[in-house]
Amino acid sequence: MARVELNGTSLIYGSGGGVSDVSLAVEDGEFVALLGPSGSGKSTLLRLIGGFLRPDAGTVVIGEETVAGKGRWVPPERRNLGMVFQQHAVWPHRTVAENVTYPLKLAKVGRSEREERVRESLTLVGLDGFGKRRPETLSGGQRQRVALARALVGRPAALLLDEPFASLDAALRDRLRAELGALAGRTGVTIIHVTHDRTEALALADRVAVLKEGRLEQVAPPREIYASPKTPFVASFVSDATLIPVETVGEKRFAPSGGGAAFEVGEVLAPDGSSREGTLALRPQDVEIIPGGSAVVRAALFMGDSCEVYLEWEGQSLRSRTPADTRLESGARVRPVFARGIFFADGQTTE
Amino acid sequence: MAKAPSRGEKASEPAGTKLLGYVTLAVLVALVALPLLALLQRGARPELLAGLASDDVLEATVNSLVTSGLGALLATLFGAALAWALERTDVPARNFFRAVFFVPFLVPPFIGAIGWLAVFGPVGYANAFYNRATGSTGGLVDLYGPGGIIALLALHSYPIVYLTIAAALRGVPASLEEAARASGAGRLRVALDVTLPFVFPALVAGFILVFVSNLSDFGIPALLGLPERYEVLPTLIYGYLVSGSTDDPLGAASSIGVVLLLLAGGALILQRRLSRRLDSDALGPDPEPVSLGAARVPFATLLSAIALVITVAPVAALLVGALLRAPGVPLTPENLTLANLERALVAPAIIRGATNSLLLASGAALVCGLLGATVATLIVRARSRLGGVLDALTLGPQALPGTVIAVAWILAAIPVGLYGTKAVILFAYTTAFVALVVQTVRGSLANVPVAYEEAARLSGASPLRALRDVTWPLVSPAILVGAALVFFTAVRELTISALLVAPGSETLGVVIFNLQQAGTYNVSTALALVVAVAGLLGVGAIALLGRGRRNLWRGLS
Repeated sequence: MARVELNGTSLIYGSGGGVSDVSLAVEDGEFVALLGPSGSGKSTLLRLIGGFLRPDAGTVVIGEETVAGKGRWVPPERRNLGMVFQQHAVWPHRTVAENVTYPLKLAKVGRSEREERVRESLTLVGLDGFGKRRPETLSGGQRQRVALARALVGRPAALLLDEPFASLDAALRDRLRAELGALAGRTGVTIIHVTHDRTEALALADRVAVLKEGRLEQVAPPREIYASPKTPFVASFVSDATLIPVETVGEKRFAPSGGGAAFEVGEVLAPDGSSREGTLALRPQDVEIIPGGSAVVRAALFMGDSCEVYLEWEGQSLRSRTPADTRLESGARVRPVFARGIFFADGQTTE
Repeated sequence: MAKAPSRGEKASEPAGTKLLGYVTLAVLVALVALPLLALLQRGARPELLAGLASDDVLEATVNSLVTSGLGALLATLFGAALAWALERTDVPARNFFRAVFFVPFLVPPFIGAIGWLAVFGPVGYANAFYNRATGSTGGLVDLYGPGGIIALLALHSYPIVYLTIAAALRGVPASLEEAARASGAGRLRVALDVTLPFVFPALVAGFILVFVSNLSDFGIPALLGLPERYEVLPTLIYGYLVSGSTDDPLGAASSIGVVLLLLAGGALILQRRLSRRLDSDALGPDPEPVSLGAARVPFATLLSAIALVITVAPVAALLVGALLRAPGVPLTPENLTLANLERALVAPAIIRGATNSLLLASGAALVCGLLGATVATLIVRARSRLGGVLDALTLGPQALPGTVIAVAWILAAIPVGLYGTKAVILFAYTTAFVALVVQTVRGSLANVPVAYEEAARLSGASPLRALRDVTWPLVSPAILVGAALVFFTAVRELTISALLVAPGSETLGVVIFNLQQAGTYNVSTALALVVAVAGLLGVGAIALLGRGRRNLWRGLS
C-alpha cells in the first residue's frame, strides 16, 4: 500500500485529446474516483499510472519511487499494482485458481504460501471454493470478482479499477458496488477508480476528481463536489445543472446575456464574485415550478421518487426536479422559481 | 532500465518485442522483398521488355486474360447465385449443400483436370458413351482448349466467391432490410437498394481474387491447353524454362513474370478502388429466409443434380480410371485391377515425390506457423509503423501468382547456390503461404482483448512472457489451423514446384503431372485419386479442428 502521485503529468495524443498538466496525490489507503465523460482523459490517466502509457511531461510516483518521468521508466510488471478491467480480463484458458495465483507465481512465492494466499483472496471476494472452476462456467459478476481477487492477491501498492462495473447489469452493479465499498474499508488498499457514472463516484470514493478535456476541474470529497461545485462543468456533470450565461443586475438578480427578462434567485452561492458577468448554474432540485407563466413544459418524466420536468423558458432549456405526485402535460404553461443558484464569475472559470 | 521517454512513442514498447519485431522484419525481407527485387531487376530490363512484344507473348497474354477473366466471371455468377440460394432461401438441407459445393475447392485444380479429362476427354466416359449411342466420332464435349480451361477454372474457384459473398450476405444487418420493407419497398427493391450495396464489395473482391488465382494457375491450362498448343503466361514460362527454347530462358521468364505481376497488381488496385466497404452498427436477428413455396423440392433436386455432377463425376471417373486395366477398356469385372493403385503406391519415383512433398509441406507448415503467428501478433499488437510494413510484406505475396513467386525464387536462389535444392522450394512455399497463417491467427487475435495481456503485465510478466503465458495459448488453435492449411495446400501444390524442381527434388504434384504428360494415365489417375481423397479427409479434419476451437472458447468475451 502506498500513495500515488501525479506531478504535472501530460500526455497529448497525435489526434488531440489526452491529459495535460495533471497533478493529483492519492494518499495511502485513500479511495479516489476519476470521474468524467468519455474522452475526458480519465482512462488515459489510469493507464499512465499502470504503465501502459508514457507521459510526455511530468512524473508518476508510486510510494517512494518515481516510475515515470524524465529519464525514469519502470514497466508495468515492476510497478506492483493490481488492476481490474472493464471486460474483466480473466484468462479463459486458466482455472480460477490459476488466474489468481499467476502474480504470485511470477513473484516466485513458494507453493504453500501461494495456495494460502489464493484461498484468502478468493474468500475476500466471496468466491470460496471456486478455485477449480473454469472461467466460462462463471457469471459476469463472478468473473469480475476473480479479476478483483487476482488484482489483490499480490498485495499491490495500489488497485486500479477501469470502469469495472460498466458491463454488468444494474442490479449486479449495485451489489458489487456495495461490496467494493466494504472491501476497500477492510483491506485499506489505495484505490483509483475510473468511472463515468457520477452516482458510483459519489457513493464509493473518499475524494472525487472530475476531469474535463484532459484537465482536472475539481478534486474534493463527494459531498463537497455535490454541494459546492467549483466550475460550471462540475455543476452540470455532477448534478445536471442548467448553465445560463448571465449578467448580475442586482443582489440576487440576473439578466440572461442572450437577452430576456431579468429574474430573481432565492439564494446565490458565489464561488467568486469578482465580475458582474458569468455563468449561473441552476440545478434541477433548486428549480421549482408553479402553474401559469411564460415557460412551456416540453416533457415530464416520472422517475419513481420524483419527476423530471423539462422546460422551455426564455429561450433556455431548463430542468426541474419536482415531487413524484406532480402531474403535468406537455405544453402546459408554468413559471420557474429559483430557490438557489450558483454563480461563476467570468475570468475565474475554465468555461 | 532508465530510458528517456521518446515523444513519438506514447506506449511502452519494450526491448524484447522490439528485437522480435526487427528479427521478423529481416526474415520477411529475405523471404519476400529480396526475391521480388531480383525478379524486377532481372525482368524489367528494356531489351527484355521489348522482347515481350513477340507474337508468342502477346498471344499468351491475351489467352491468359480471356481464360482467367471469363473463368472468374463464370465463377462469380455461379458463386453468387449459390450464396443467395444457400444463405437466403428456405431450400432444404442447406448445410449439406454447403459442404458438398465446397468439395471442388478441396481438390487441387490439376487433379480435378485429370478427373474431368477422364469424363470429357477425347476418350473420356461421357464422350465414348455419346459416340457409341449416336455413332458420331467427334464426341459430345471437347475439354481441350480455352472452353475447357475456362470451365475448369470456374469450377475450381467458385467456392472462393461463394465464401466471400455468403459472409457479406450474413453481414447485412437484417434490421436495415426490414427498415426498407417497413418503408414500403418490395423484396426486389430491398435487394437492389439495401442488400446489393452491402454485397457489392464482396462481389468485386471475389471476382478479383479468383481472377488473380486463375492467372497463376498452371495445372489446368497445362493439361487442357498444351495438347492444342494453347499457351497462357504460366505455361509459356514453364515452356521457356523447361525446354530452353530461347537463348535467355531465365530473362524471358522473368519479364513475363513482371507482366503477370503487373496484371495481378492492377487487378488488386482496381479492387481497392471499386470496393468501399459499408459498415453499419445496426444489429438484429437473421433475416427471414425467402420462401420458395412449391419450388422448394424441384429447386433442391436441381441443386442435388448439379452437386452430383460437379463433385461426384470427376472423383468417380478417377476411381474407375484407377481400377481399370487399361484406359478405354469397358468397365467389366475382369477388367478391374488394383495393379494401378499398387504401382502408384510403390514406384520409387512416386515414393520419392510423396516423401519430398510431405517433408516440404511439413517444413512449410512449421516455418509458416511460427513466422505467421509472430507476424500476426506484431501486426495486431504493435503500436509502431512496423505493423503496417509486416502486414504488406506477408499479405502482398498472397496476391502474387505462384508462377511469379517461383520465378523470383529461381533468380534469388542462383547467386547463393540454392537453385535446384529442396530448400528453395521450401522458401517459395513460405513466401506464398505464410499469409494463410497470418490471416487465421489475426482473426483469432482480434478476439483476444488487450486487457488479457495488460492484466498479465500488471501481474509481473514481461511483454514476451505475457505473450507466451496468455496470448499465444489462447490463439494456439488458430495457429494450428493455419499451419494445417499450409500443409494441405503445399503437399498437393504444382504451380510453384513445377518451375523449381530439379532431379531428386520432384514433388508429388510434379510426379503426377509428368506421369499424365507421359501418357501413363492409369497410374496418374490412381495417384490423383489418392491425393484427392487424402486431401478431402485432411481438410475435413481441419474443419473439425476449427469447430472444436469455437466450442472451446464459446461463451467468452
